This record gives sequence, C-alpha cells and structure tokens, in this order.
Amino acid sequence: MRRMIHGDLRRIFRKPGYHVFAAILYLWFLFWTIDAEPSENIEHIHDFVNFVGIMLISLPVLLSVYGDELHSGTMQGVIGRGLSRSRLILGKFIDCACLSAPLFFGLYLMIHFKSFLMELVLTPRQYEMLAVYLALRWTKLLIILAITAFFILMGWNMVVGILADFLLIYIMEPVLLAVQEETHIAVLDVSFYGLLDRGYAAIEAGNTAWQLPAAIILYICPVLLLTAVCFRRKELSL
Amino acid sequence: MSIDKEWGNYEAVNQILPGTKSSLITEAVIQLKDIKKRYGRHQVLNGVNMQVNRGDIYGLIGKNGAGKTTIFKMILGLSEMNGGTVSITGSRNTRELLKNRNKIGFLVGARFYKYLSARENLYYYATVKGIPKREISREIKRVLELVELPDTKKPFKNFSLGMMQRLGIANAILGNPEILILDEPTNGLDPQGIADVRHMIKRFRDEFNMTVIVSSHILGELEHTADRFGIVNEGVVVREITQEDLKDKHQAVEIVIDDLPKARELLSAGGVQILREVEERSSLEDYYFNLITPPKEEMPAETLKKAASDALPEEDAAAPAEREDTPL
Ligand SMILES: Nc1ncnc2c1ncn2[C@@H]1O[C@H](COP(=O)(O)OP(=O)(O)OP(=O)(O)O)[C@@H](O)[C@H]1O
Ligand SMILES: [Mg+2]
Repeated sequence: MRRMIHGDLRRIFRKPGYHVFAAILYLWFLFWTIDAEPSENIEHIHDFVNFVGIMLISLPVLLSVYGDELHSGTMQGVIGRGLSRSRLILGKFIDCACLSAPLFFGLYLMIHFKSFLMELVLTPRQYEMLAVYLALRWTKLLIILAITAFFILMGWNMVVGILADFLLIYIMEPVLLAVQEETHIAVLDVSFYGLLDRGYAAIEAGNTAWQLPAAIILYICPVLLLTAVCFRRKELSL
Repeated sequence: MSIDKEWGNYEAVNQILPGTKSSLITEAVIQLKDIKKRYGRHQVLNGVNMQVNRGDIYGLIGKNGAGKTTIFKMILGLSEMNGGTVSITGSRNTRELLKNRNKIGFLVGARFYKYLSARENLYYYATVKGIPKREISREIKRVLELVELPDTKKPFKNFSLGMMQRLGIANAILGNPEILILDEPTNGLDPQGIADVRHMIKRFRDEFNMTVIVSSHILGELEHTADRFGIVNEGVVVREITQEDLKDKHQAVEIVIDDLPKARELLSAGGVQILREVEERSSLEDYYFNLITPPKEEMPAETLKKAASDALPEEDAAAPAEREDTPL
C-alpha cells in the first residue's frame, strides 16, 4: 500500500492539473474581498474556505485520485499485483489526505502573505486559531472525500462523485440545520458538521475538543469500512 | 456453425511443430480448481480446471466470449469467483495468494494513465511493484528495449495500438516476474508485430525463465510458440494438450479461399470439420480457415489436401499452410 501511495503522489504532483487548481485557489483567495474591513478579515477568510476553498481543493484531489483510475484501469493493474482491495481503499484515502493537506497549508501561507500585502496585522492568537480552523476544515473535507469515494467506487462514475461532493459541501449542512430547527432533533449536532464546529468552539474556549476524535471515529472509519466491504465484490471491468 | 460441440472429439493439430520443451520436474505455478463465475444469469465459467507448470508456455485457446479473459481475471483477483480455488506457486490461503500475485506480470487490457508517457507509466508500476528506486530507471530502459518501444515523451493517449500493446508487454515483464500472463498480446499488431511478439514470448521463457500463459482465439497463432494448450469452450477448459499430442493424433490446416459458401459446402461434404473462419486477410474476398480434420488414419494428409484443393479454386487453395508462410 505504501508503494502505491508513493507512486500515486509522484504521478499526481507531476500533473499540471493539480497545480493549476492550486494556482486558481491562491489567486482567488488573493482577490477575495480585497477591500474588506480589517475587523471583518477573519470572517472573510472563513467564508472563503467554506464556499470556495473546500470545493477548489476537493476537485483536483478527486479527479486525480479517483477520476484518473476510472479512465485508465490502473486500479486493476494494482489489484492484479496483489494489493488487497481494502488496502487499496485505505491507500486512496491516504492519497486524498496527502494531496489536500499541502493545499490547506498553502492557503495558510497565503493568509500570511495577503495580510502582509495589505498591511493587516493579525495577532498570534488569531493566526493560531486560523491554523486550527484550517485543520478542522481539512478534517471535514476528508470525511466528505471518504463518503464521496464510496459513491465513485460503487457507481464507477465520476459525475456521481462530483455530485455527492457538491451536496456534502453546500447542501447537506443547511438541510440538516433546517431539519434540526423544525423537529428539534439534534441531527446537525451529531453530524460531522456539528461535531467539528463544536470542536472548534471548544478549542477556541480553551477546552478539550472531544468532538474531533468523535467525528473521525464516527464518520471516517465506518465509511471506509463500508466502502471496503462493498468494493470487495465489485466487478472491475475494462 | 456448430463446430464447438466437436471440440471434445477432435484434437487440433499441425504438422509443422517444433520440438516440445519438456521437463522432468513439473511444478504447478498456477492451479485452478473448479472455478465458477456467473454474471447475472449468464454462467461464464463452468468449473474450470487448469494447471500451468513451471517453464511452460501455455496457450489458452478459445473463440471470442469463451471465457479466456475471465479466467485471467480470476487468477489476478480482478473479479470475484462464485466457486473454486486459485493457487499461485503453491499458495494455500488468501494471504499467500495475495502475496504470490506479486510474482505475476500481466497484460490484460491496457491499464495506463492516459496523460503519462511510457516511461512515467512504467515508473508508476515499478514503484507499486517495489522495485528499488535507484534501479527503476535502468529497469525501464531494459524492458523498453526488450519490447522495442522508443522512449518518447508522447502521452499514452496518443499511442498507436501497436505501441500500446508493446507498452503492455513491457509493463508485464517489469521486474522480471516468474509468471507472465498475456491476454491476446497480438491484438491489433501487424504481421511483423505478431512475429515479434511470438519471438519475445519464447525469449522470456528461454532467457528469463518465465512461465508464460498466453491467450489467443486462433490455435494457429500459438502452435509454434506454446508447448501446452488449454482449449476453452463455453467456460470450460475442455482439454489440455501438448504439442506432442497435436503432432501425433490429428492434423489441422489453414487455407485461404475466396468463395466462402462454396468452400463450406464442399469441405463439409468431404468430411472436414471447419474449426474457425476468420475474415482477416488482406483483401475483402479472402477468408482464412482453420480446419480440424478426422484422425490421420481416417483421412491422410494427402486426402485432406486433395479435398481442400478440390473444393477451392486452384490459385486460392494453399493447404496445408503454415501461417507465417501464408502471403499477406
Ligand atoms: N463484466 C461482465 N458482465 C457481464 N458479462 C461479462 C462481463 N465480462 C465478461 N462477460 C461475458 O463473459 C463471457 C466471456 O467473456 P471473456 O471476456 O472472458 O471472453 P474471451 O474468451 O476473453 O473473449 P475474447 O476473445 O473476445 O476476448 C462473454 O460472454 C462475456 O459477454
Ligand atoms: Mg478476452
């Protein structure tokens, strides 16, 4: 599995597509509310990450980790060499983590760069909380990618995957919120969206954020497990 | 034509067979026991039993849809079986099976990233295979030379069919695997390419000690290359034969004709079973026949030749013909 991840990362980092998306992400960020009031700055950064950033990071990751496989049949090439399917699923997930992390880190550097350009002074505490915020959004993206991967691998179809990605990024959370407000059942609170947000609030308040490991254990592990179980019987054509 | 039913009764043959490489020690490197595979209600493999021994060049022969690719997919674990067991170099459980799969190099479909060059694609698989980093470059150069594929910058998606096939073979022999599986490696190749591939296959076995399993839908294509054959029909290996069996008992010829209906009629009147008709000659009027005949003692080669030439316009009949000699 380590070898496959190695090979994957090498080929994807050499792919122009990944870097083009990174460039768009950073440029977009630079021009995102460039005339914002300093006092609103943090909020604007949060908005950017939520509405533009996550999508722009998830797309190149999904397209290069899974999209390329569907069109090339290389996954079969790897399975035929004796990699078990569950390791393959885990490996691909780790690929996603390894490919999205640098983009988030790049974004963090861009935040520094932009505040330097715009002569905005953020306090060390604010930078620290921004780093925490990005780390939590990264975790959120990983959960979304794990769920999306399930749909891509089961449907063997990229459109399904992008659709799932879109729904999970933009639609699911407001829907859960509406349901929670309507029914007073805490569906949002127990969802990974709620857990991660409350985790962030806990860290901000200086408390232990138990919600974080909870989100990972409750969401990432079962989804990967389910994918592995379902994918075991999947017929690989081509 | 319902010739397939006859597989059980006739054994295919050719007169011109080189000596078979035989070995006193036979060690099964791949063993399939009672493999079953169903797609929906369609029973594709119906209890396949097959054994490939170390040092074999094993030809898996069957018409389109017989189940050759499916058999390979079972060996490689690309598709789940509905019954039966696969053992690779004596593996006894799933863990060993997975581990031993790394001893196989294979060409089953073109499995490459479209935007990467030949070298980059091979680099990926070399990494997956666990070839040490400092050796990868040398290894890639070696296999590209063996299959005579130029090391261009062109991405895979711009490859010609022949180049794709060569890259597939290069990938299969990456890291010098013990076992080589080639699914119709000559597909889409020109006659020179076909001859090259046959030559390569022999070389892989003789020089690099690989055990080779290669499939084809025409027996004639492998008769000079393989030394054991598994004949697949309707999802069963109906028979495993050696070159010696071919030589001794029966005979098969390949002929080129131009009047298909007439030839069919005359040949069957002469008691000749038509094994396969292939429309793949140089011109549209030409057909290519692979015949299976009654045992030698019942119909000597001379009689067969006569029956064939009687059936066919003189200038078109060429029986028996060795494939490479057949003008293209
Ligand atoms: N994924 C699949 N779903 C349904 N049926 C399939 C699938 N793959 C193969 N088949 C069926 O299984 C049968 C055997 O196919 P297979 O590809 O093994 O034949 P083959 O001997 O390799 O033929 P060819 O010479 O054309 O390559 C065919 O009837 C085919 O339609
Ligand atoms: Mg096939």
